[in-house]
Amino acid sequence: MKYATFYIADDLFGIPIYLVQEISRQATVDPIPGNDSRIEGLMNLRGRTTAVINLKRCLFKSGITAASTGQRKKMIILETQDGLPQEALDLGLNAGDEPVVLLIDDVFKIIDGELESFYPPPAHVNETYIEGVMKSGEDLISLLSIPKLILGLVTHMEDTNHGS
Amino acid sequence: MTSRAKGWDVDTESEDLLKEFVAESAENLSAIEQTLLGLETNRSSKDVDEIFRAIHSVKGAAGFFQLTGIERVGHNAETLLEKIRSNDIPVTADIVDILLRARDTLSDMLFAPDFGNDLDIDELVAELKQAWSGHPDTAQTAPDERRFPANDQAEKALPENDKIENKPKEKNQTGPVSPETGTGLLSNGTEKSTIRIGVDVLDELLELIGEVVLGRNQFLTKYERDKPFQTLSQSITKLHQHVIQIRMQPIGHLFNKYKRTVRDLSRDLGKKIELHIDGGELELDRTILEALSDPLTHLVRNAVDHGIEKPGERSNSGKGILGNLYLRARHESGQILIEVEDDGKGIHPDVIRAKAIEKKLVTEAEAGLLSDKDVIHFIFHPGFSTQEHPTTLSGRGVGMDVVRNNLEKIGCMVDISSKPEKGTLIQARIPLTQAIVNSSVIAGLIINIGSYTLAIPQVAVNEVITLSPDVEMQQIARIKDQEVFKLRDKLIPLVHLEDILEIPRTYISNDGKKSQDRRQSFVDRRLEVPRGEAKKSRNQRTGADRRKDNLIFIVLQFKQNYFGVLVDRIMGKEEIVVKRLPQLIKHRRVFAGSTILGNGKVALILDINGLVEKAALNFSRHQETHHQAARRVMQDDKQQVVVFNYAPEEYFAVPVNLLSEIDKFKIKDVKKVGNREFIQRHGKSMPLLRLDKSLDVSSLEKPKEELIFLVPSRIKYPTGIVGCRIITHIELTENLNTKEADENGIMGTFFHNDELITLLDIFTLLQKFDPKRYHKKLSSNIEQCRILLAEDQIFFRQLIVQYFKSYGIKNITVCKNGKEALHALIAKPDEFDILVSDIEMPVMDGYQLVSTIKTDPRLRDIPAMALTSLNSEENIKKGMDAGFDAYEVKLDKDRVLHRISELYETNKTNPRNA
Repeated sequence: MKYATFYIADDLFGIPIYLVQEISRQATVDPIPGNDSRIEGLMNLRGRTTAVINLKRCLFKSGITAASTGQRKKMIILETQDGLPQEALDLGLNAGDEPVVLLIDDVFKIIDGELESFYPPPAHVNETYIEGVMKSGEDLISLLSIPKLILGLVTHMEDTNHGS
Repeated sequence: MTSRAKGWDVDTESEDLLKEFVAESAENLSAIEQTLLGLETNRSSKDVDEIFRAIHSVKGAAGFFQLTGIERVGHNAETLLEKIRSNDIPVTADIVDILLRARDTLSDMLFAPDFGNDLDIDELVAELKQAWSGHPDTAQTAPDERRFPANDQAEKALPENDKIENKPKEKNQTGPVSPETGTGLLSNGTEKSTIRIGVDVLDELLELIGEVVLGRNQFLTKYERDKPFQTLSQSITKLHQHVIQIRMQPIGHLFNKYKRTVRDLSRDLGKKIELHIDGGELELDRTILEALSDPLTHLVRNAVDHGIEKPGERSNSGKGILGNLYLRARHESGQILIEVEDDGKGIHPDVIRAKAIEKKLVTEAEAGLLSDKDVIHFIFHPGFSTQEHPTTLSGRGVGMDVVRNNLEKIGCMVDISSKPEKGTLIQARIPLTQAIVNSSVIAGLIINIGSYTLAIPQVAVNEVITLSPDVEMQQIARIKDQEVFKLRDKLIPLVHLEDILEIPRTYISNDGKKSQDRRQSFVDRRLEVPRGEAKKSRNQRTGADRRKDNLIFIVLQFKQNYFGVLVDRIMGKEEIVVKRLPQLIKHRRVFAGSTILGNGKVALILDINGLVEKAALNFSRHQETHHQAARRVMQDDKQQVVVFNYAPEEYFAVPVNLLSEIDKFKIKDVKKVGNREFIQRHGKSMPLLRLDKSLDVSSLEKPKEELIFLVPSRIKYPTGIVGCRIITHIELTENLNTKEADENGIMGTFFHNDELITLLDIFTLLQKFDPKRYHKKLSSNIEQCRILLAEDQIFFRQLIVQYFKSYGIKNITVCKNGKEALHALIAKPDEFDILVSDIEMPVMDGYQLVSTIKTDPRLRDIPAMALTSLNSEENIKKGMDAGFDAYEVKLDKDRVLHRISELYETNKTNPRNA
């Protein structure tokens, strides 16, 4: 399976290419009021209001976030379940029901995922969303689980909502 | 539906035909229900024809599908109708009854598994036969029931053009259009062709047209002036309106359903009731109509069962035998008002009172203090039923609380009023905001708050108010912990939108630094210039300064209530397309949806319901009355008092406008220092005053876990007066008995609903409670002071005179207005030491009075003090400019007396008196 890999701060992350609908330069994101900084805001994606996730705030434990704040440059528009090709479904991939946008720092490259070796997730990364680490040449790439990420965002928010 | 038709080889084509049959027959049957009901009162041959045709075509098609049960019932009903048509059989209530039952059975069978072929219809068929043959012989051999496709006789009897009913392919079919039209489009002779569409198709259409509007909006600024674009734009708006229109249905459809309910029920109960329908043409979204159906059924049943009396009872009480039930719908101030009213026996407040006491919802004494209007609302209390023996009709374990809850689910606000022997009126109000559905286009107010752009549905916006500095800010006050704004005759709670939306408040200080804004009240937040520092003069102020000074409030309407939110800027009005919220923010109930604005930006749409929930804005009845109470005080200065108790049977009253806060506290939170009790309030400790320690009143019999405190307003050191609970708010009439007044803090007593209530003199109470803080330090011979008081209101006259008397001042002359006071002064200029005058008075107000005496050399040295409830800075300035030497706010006894004393002292050293 091919993976799209990208930078967030100085770290490399990857997701299956099937889950990527489009990678583009950052468009305007309109902020929404609220405490959850992991949601960057909403954007107008071809007439549809779409939530934009700030991956950096999701993945890094606080502290590191502040140190590595840089200009965001790119965004990944994720594929929806309806848009997944049959091969992807055969591979057991899952996407959300509606489009979601991920903010990343930069695109790295497309890597053919011969999964040679797995490592436990790096300590400074919130490992909840990481399925494993892939090695490609000298680069270590953390593999991101999109369903876990979305689930984490939704359930965590519901918790905080109940708490308030 | 698969394989429901016996003996029919089920393929796709026949399946489709069968579906068509069911849909069409259902329409036919549902259309004739109303016609049947009309038959009883007014037998018209046109109506009989219509019913006949409907039954005939159902029967015919059933024969085609070999649905024997339906065919049998249909056949016999048809035969009966045939005889009615030929005037062989008169239309009686019984005949209509049988026909109605036949109709119901046909309709049931249509949707039953196997088309009701297993249903026992023998009894009904026998009855029908008996009806048309005139004798009960079931073996009657008349027209062959199985004849196919239709009864010959019937076929012949039909006028030629009616036969098309059986031929679905025929164009311009004149069948009834909509399931519940009832009026029967057949009758008016105009032919309307109709098609049926699934609701999902409509929704899709709506979504698409939403996209079109959105696209149009984005071009709006660019091509606004282009003629072709304008035309296109208008067409789009119209198109959208039409699509919306399709989803709407007149509420008459729903109302008409109850004709049957009322007829059947009243017959069963031996009552005569006429149902009047008004405003049936008002249109509502289908979903809302569906939600209204059950609660209205319950209310209609209630009215027929419990409300309207039997004919005998009615004539005994001098009413017409015919009971009247009204169903009404109309628009009223941005809401849809639905009423169910009957002219029956009404609900007796005393019955409710007794029941409420029995159910321990109130004590007997408290129930006595509640007004009849308030008492009635207990019927919305869960488990509260006034019917001793619930009948099968309406007492099905469903109470009025369920009705109210169901209505509230769709945002309805329910109110009830009832007069014994006159009838009951129930009103449900649906805010128009409820009608917002996905992809619909609504008018929205686009606002800015912080760095966010949000949309507010226009229908929820009552008005927009810009508060300029100084003057209007005085209109903001605090009741309990809630800031309120006085808008004309209303007190409107103010809501901090930033808090609800979880936006950190930022405070931009004079040097441009941003920091967290911790100021709690709007009033504080406006004061950017520290006290004592001079304000920039007008021409020095920049635009930014001015913006910061002005507060923009949007008054939103929630159900019957209003509340205000503060916004930074209003961007304008726009037609917005409501879109679903992305999954990731769906849980935020403060947003109703999202939209894309003309500039391409995404904005969230505020959900008014959610806002209220999040703000925990309690529009409960208690608070409403509190606000109403305060409102009345502000409106016409009538004295409104809060009645509370301490020991169970002893009632005390305090004027509402003397209170800044009423709140509950827990005994376990009370800290004791020696004999004194304290409680934390706003982070500070506040002493608690127990009435039994200051006055000769009973103490609490048993300790309570929770009590209330009342904090007087306009005092330097807040003290909480402890009470047990708030009983009610009432208007103080002028029959205050001041003979009971004593030096310790009782102003007088009065009776309300036979209960003795003691009006407290808060300031004396506080003085006794804490002499060190509320000390007297008055002029030594203040008793000698001769005062001329100008005050138009009896209550305040009494109160102020009493203030003075409590300090030993006896020489008080009272005038009812400025003119009287002026005459008194001119007549005897040397007999008064001080003039104390109200501002707002008839004939001549305080300003005129003082400016006149200050220009009169004989009078101008008499110190004049304004004593008023107008306490804005502007009023004070105006008062001082007019010539008052002092300006004090009524009811602050301590300060008033001190000021009198000061003025008296200065005046004594005045050469005039030397």
